[in-house]
Amino acid sequence: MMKKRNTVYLSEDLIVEILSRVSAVSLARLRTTSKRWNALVKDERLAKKHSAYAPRQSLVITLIDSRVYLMNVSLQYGIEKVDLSAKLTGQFSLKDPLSNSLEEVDIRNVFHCDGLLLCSTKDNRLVVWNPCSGETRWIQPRSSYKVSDIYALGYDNTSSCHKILRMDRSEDRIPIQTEYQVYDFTSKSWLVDGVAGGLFIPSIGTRRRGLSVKGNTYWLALTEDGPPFDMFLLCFDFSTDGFRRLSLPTDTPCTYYDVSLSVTREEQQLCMFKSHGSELWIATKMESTGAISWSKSHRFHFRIDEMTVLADQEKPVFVYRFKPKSNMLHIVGEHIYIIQVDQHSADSKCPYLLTYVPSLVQIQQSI
Amino acid sequence: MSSKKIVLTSSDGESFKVEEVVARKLQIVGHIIEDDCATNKIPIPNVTGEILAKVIEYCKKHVEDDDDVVETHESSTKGDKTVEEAKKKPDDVAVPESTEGDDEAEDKKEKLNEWDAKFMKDFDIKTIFDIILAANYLNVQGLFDLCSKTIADYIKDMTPEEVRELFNIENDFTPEEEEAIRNENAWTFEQDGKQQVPKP
Repeated sequence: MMKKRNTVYLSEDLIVEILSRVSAVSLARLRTTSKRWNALVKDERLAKKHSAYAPRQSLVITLIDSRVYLMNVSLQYGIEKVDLSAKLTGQFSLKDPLSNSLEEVDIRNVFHCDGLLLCSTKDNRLVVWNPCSGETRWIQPRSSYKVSDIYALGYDNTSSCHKILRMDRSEDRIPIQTEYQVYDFTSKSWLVDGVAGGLFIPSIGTRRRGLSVKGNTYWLALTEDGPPFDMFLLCFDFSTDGFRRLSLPTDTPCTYYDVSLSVTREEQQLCMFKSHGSELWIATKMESTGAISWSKSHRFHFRIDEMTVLADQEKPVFVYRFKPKSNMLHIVGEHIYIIQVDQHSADSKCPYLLTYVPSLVQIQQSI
Repeated sequence: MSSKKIVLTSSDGESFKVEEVVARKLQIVGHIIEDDCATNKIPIPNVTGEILAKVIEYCKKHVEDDDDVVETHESSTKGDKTVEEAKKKPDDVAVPESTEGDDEAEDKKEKLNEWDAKFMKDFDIKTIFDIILAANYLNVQGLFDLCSKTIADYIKDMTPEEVRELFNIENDFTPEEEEAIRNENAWTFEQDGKQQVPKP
């Protein structure tokens, strides 16, 4: 295709049609084309068409030293081995609006849903952020945020808007219960005030950060009705603003620390990995009634300090130990998923990997 | 099939005689025919002969498509319908009447896609811009979508400087404003392994 000096002017409607077919990362790069294009990237018209037409990407981000980085995870297939490389390729820059010199914000935790990042900061603030459009929304608390809070960002299908869940365990009441609030972006206020009993999310590193699948958030949780503490899948449904308990595949007993949750990259399916027995299960069906079906996907073995390749499988799965003698495992599959497995350690320094699907999703629906 | 012929006349006086069923693919023309307020001659004042020839070539190839049958009267609703239709497409589970029919339809669609790709490959970017303007004016949705996708693929790896040149866009940022956004989206250059182009 010859490149020619163009003298044709396209109307803004036509430009919106074209840009709605360009990936979100490319559009983020082209924000500096002009003020008009920068405004378009934040425009609701383009955001709606873009979610319908644009090619979908699945990237990987990580939180290191209070900063969010983009990580390039790639696999090179050799004759008898596969090389896995994971390198940081760029930093998501989040400026502090309260700082005169616009310093970077120190981030404590990050949660992803639909291309939006929900970040809690080291100084106990909360922000929703779209790194592609640059849009941010700082969320005011009803009562001061605490380090022990658990947050999640989800999507309400009935009112077609995103919401924030905040929950914490109240220690000053007996019996101990989990209190939660839901933030509504339209009214800019915390609307739902609820209490949930009999559930417990252990404060082990990454476990408090749930997984977002199709707008709802999932955790591995324990019952609190007394020993034995049964493990179950906890779901917060942002359309009904309530918790649901779902069953886990129960063919083999296992302890809480042997199991990890993750999500497939492309198809956004919830999956579960059991390190004892090296089993991977994928949730094939999740009904709004709460019924869930699991399908065993792979069974494989891994050795210390080595990468295991199952090339004969329909979908290859690689086990990669981040560091020698580290207690953390990452399972990286090409176009499949990234799982991080915690093994009996709460204070590992290993960076946590998170699937990130760039989008032009707007933080607040305009009325 | 009706053997009625329609003569379309371009802005520079070139005439094209086409089957009515092909002419209806240009939905503006289809509306004129249905209103029965025209003879067999229909002027297309905003499109040159060179471009109209390409639009007609596409319409002849896609004469059996179902996509363009959707009638719209307001451009504002057009966008909404398009989005809704696009969202429905992945969920459309057609009940298969026979495996043979499925394979046949799929094979036909694949060949059409190959034809589309070859069709677009022959044009330079200026011609594609002219065609998308014509497809928009004449309301040929399939060709419009095809041009949009082609231009999108063309610009997806470009730098802002290259896009400005292509679209005749002036850079109205101050150097400070541009610097601020570049710092913010620097990861988009590094992520694709693209080096930042030094400022002009």
